[in-house]
Amino acid sequence: MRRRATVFLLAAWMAGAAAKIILPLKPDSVRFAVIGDSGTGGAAQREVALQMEECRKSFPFDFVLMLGDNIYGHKTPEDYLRKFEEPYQGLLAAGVKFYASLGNHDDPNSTAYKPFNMDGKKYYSFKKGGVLFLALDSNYMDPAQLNWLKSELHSSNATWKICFFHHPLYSHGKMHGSDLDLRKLLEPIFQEQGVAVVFSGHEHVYERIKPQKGIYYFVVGNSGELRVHNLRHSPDTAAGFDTDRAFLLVEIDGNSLYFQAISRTGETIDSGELAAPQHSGSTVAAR
Amino acid sequence: MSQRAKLKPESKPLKPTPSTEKILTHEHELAERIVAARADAVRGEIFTPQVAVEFRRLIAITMHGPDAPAIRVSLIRAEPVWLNALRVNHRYPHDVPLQSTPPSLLLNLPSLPPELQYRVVGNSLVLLDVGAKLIVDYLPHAIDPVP
Repeated sequence: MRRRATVFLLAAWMAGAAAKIILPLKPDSVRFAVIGDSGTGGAAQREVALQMEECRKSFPFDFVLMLGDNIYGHKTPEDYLRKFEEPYQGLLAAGVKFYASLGNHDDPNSTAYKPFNMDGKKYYSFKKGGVLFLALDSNYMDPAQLNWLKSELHSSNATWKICFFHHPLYSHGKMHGSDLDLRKLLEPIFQEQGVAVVFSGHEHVYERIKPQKGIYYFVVGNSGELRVHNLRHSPDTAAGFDTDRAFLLVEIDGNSLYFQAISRTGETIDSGELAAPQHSGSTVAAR
Repeated sequence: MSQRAKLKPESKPLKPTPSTEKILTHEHELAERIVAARADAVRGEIFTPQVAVEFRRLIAITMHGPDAPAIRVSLIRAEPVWLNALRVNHRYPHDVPLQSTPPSLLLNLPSLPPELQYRVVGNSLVLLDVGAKLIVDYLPHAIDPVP
């Protein structure tokens, strides 16, 4: 116990200063954080978690989206403790809810792990304000899931429809890159049903892709894991960061979505404002 | 493929719990019951020679069709997994990632009850009981090796 406390103090010192929040903090806005490929149990994951806690003091977010690879390696109770419960204990104690999606390193049975809020389902949806969130299982995109996705999207009149899942449809990471087969099936559904934003992980970097067919794609796969200098230069990359861990803060107010990507050490690595999708197209103004 | 039906009275889905011990115990007990129910299971019991021929035909349609290049790229980018040995009625190792199955392939294969999934391991197509993490059967050399 004493050793753990020492590790956390050291991690706090290592993490450096808290980030300066530049999100607008509008009343009644939907506020959340996004992490991906987090579950290493290493010092860097804890430092990111501490940075998230610090940010929450000035940007009180209510929940966190997890983009998969939530628990790497073995899956013993000790692993869940070391790779999830301990790093995020401050956020969990404050009542922040985590909504997980499954990565290729995750145990499919972790859907029953209550703190992941999956309610035993590999894919599920929930609503916050005027925002519909859909967690997908990109490991196993079978016809049943595709039909469910179409139905959920079709029956919703939410201003913002946001999907999050592990494998990116667009990525310029050198390790994996875009999942073309998944893109072929999902992108037409996203376009047709008005999905505005997609968050994915798998690639251990941060990347914001320039809008593709009117949809904003973010890769946040470096909240625990990291592949240094693993981003390929591409004209389709709006912003990228591959030299440290990071997470994303998001605020949605009416037709505006504000985002701020923050590194382990509190540096703002990307930020901007997105407009809700219109049938004629969307705009982004990155700061 | 309906062995789990026999077990249904004792194998209700686990309710969400904060206890990871409960999740692991449930998985372990489910696997034990399935193994006990089909203790003599061997490879090819589900993928019988005739079924295997049909599966290989369906896989070939997908893997050699117009979408084949995209599927191959996806297979490579999904972090291909190789296990030293696949054995029916053995558990899939907890610390080994599960490679995603190309969705185009899933569109062409017969649908399964929700407790079973087709998974790619090396160049084999594995029938996995997800709740028990148990290898139910597998079809070797089903998928062309990716470079």
